[in-house]
Amino acid sequence: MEENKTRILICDDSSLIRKQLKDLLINMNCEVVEAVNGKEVVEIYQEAQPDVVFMDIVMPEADGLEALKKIKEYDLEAKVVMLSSIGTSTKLIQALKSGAMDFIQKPYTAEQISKVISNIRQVPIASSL
Amino acid sequence: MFNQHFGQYLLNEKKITSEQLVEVMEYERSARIKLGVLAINAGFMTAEQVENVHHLQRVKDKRFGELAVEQGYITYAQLEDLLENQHCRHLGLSQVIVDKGYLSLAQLEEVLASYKGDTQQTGEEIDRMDFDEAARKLLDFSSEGAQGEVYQDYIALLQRNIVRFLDVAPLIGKNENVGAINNQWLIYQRIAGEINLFTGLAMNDEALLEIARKYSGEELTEIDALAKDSVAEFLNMVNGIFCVNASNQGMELDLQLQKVVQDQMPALEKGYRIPIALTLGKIDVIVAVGE
Repeated sequence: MEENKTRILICDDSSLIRKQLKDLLINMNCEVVEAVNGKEVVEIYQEAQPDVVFMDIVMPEADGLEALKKIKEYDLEAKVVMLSSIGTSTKLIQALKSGAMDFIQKPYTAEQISKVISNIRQVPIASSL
Repeated sequence: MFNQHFGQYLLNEKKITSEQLVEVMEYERSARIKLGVLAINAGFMTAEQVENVHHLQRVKDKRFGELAVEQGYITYAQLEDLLENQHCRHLGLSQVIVDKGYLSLAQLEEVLASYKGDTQQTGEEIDRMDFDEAARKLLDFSSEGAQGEVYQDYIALLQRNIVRFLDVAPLIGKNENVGAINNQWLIYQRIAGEINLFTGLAMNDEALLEIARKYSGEELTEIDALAKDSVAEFLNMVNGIFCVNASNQGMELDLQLQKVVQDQMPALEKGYRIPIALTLGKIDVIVAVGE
């Protein structure tokens, strides 16, 4: 992993969302790893130790809520931003109660993603210390 | 909206094919509306009189309006009225249909008269209609009760998002029973909760690729996972908005995973297929009870 780059883990079963979000984050000088479902994301989180996770809610294998709980069990300080096409869903509220840092309604804008990255970069990042 | 509404009417009445309609919709915005079509629409001249003026133009170097007045078909005041209305876009579709030879002037005269009789609305009134009204006028889910209202709202929302993200002029046809999926992709997603709704988009290879390219902005050359996910994501976005609208009315709904299958129709209790012609290709929207 490259030093001084913000490490991002994208988890979405849609290859379109993963590709377009990855392209955007690379332009923001981030290093990106991907997961395609709620089961894989927990394993990859432990390996990659990302600074932030962008995660879909409705996914195969395990959904975003289950994955969030497992990530939080492993790392209470994990920063997870939920991506959802329903901005009012009860699942989204549950996600925030379970410790999600924020949520963004799909389709997201570059500005929304950029804001999250700026906020992350304002606090000391373990990988860049 | 008049062009879309009139186009749907022509399609439903089988006056032109969906392929012809898609083709003429591409040209209607750039069409120069000629006085002949304007005069027929206004009821100032018959198709026969317009044809006669066209014939005279082959032997006399005079303008259409000038000859029409000379022949006593219209007055100067009517000519001025037609010239003032030449910039109105709502006859663009009619003009292109005539220019392409899909309907003769006489056929256009007849179909415009029957259209006006059926709709009881002028072109200007129809231009002001929104998609909710258009869907409500065309689609018949009266045997479905409250679920029919859900279908109406959903189709209107889908049309608005097609205009926003895919195509400026979607043309919707009448609903029919869902039937089978042959040589088609089906992208579907269920909405569950207080309302249970099955939503799907059926389309052939070409339409899938075109819609995927347009929505994603990606350079797609084949039907791969990215192309399929692009159409699925469009459906997911529309359904997300549907759920947010429902939530604003106090109904909590959730989305299930989108699925993309080929030549398969999931078992549905009762469903409808609504054809929509886009310049990107023809799609069928499938709506049904979601459980």
